[in-house]
Formats: sequence, C-alpha cells, structure tokens
Amino acid sequence: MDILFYLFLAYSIIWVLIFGYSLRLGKRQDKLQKELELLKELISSKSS
Amino acid sequence: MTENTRTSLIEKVLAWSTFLAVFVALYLVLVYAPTEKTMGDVQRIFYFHVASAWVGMMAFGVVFVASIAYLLTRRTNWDTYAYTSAEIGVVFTTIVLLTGPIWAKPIWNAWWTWDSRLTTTLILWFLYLAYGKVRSAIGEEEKKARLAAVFGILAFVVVPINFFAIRWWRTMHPGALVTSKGIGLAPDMMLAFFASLFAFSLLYCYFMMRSVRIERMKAEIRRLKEGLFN
Repeated sequence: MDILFYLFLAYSIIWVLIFGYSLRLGKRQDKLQKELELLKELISSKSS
Repeated sequence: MTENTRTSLIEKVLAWSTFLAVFVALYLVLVYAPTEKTMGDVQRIFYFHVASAWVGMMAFGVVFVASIAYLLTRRTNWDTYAYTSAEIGVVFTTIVLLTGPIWAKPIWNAWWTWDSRLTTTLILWFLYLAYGKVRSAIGEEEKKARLAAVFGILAFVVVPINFFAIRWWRTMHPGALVTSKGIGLAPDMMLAFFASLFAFSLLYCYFMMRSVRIERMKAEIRRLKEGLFN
C-alpha cells in the first residue's frame, strides 16, 4: 500500500476522534442546558 | 460581568486560540517540516502521535493530583477535575493506540508487537477506561468520588513505567527524543513537533473547560431536583 495511505488514515482517525469527542461534549451540554431551563421554569411556576 | 458570561468568554477565546494553534501546527507538520530520509512521509504521523501521548500522560497526571487533593479536602471540584481529565486522557490515548500501529505497519511490517512501551500504553488505556466504569457502577456520590480517587492514584503507577519503558527495557519503539545529548530532531522538525505539542495541550485545556462546565451543570440539576422533590 502507498505510504501516503497510512498518513491519510492516521490523520483521518485523529480528527474523527477529536471532532467526535467535541461533538459529543456539545450534545451533552445542549441536553443539560435544556433540562436545566425546564427545571428552573418548573421551580418558578411552583413558587408563583 | 457575571461568572457565566466570563466563563463563556474565556471558553470562546480558548476555542479560537486552539483552532488557530491546531491550524498552524498542521501547516508546520504537513508542509513546513522536511520529509524524513529513511521513513518518508509516514514519519509525519509521529508529531501528533507523540503530542497525543503527552496529553494523555498529562491528563492522567491531573487525575493523580486531583485525586490526592480530593482525598485531602473532600471538595467535589477536585473529583470533577479528576473525572473529566481521565475521560480526555482516554480519548488521547486512543489516538496513540490507533496511530502507532498505522505508523508501525509500513515501518516494522507489523501492526502490533507486545513491546514494553506498547503493552504499558494498552494497560494504561484499560485502567482509565475501568476508572470510568467504576464511577458509573457506584450510585452514591461521596462513595463514588472516594473510590475513584483511590483508583486514580493507584492507576497512575503505570504512567512512569510507561514513560521509562523505552529507557529501561530493550524495545522496538523509537528511543527517547530528549536525551542528555539534546533533542534528536532537525530544527525544522523540532518546530513542527513543539507546535503540535502546544496545539494539543491547548486542546486539552479547551476540552477540560467544557467538560468541567458540563459536570457543574449536572450538579446544579441534581441540586434543583432535590429541592423540587424533597
């Protein structure tokens, strides 16, 4: 196999993992943000 | 300026600095650095492979320090730092374990060998993966943090063994880059190497910041739920 194929494969893996992890953090953060806002709404409606 | 706005601003500055540093490092590694004479272009894997290994070890070092700090102070912040750092360490060690064999195949004509450096890296990866599993298996917060801290301290024993493996034992893995004679790289390669090291260190800080924020959100949700349902 061409030597450049190995270089391409290695760099693809590096960036897929890094962007994948970054995306996962973003999704987690969005989900928690929504949950947090919902809870705050619930608390304010309960207290009013 | 509220604390949340300040944190968001720091996060944005860090994100852009990281992006810029990664971009510069990629240029230096793929364009600026000369092609190595014996290995050819496949040697360019080395730059981010070593940078990932560095970040992995640094991340596990943070787990170790934060775990000790947690056991001494019992402050949940330290437990959060330990947990988030372990997760990031596993991501970067995964990169090391995947890019290493891709470099090895054309150079050694083998994807893997049970060499001391390779084996201890695999052990490290399994240990910190287990660290995450131990945490998720325990429900009670205080007990989880305490046991994880003990695990984080004990697991760190493998980090220096992994670091010194290429010095202590005969190995197929390339030798130490920094020796008493200096750094074994041409100046152009050295620049690319330090740029990739810097870029990935920034990336670690950026991931840490985002992960810590997520863990704090989780804690706030738990606190609000307790207030709501008790």
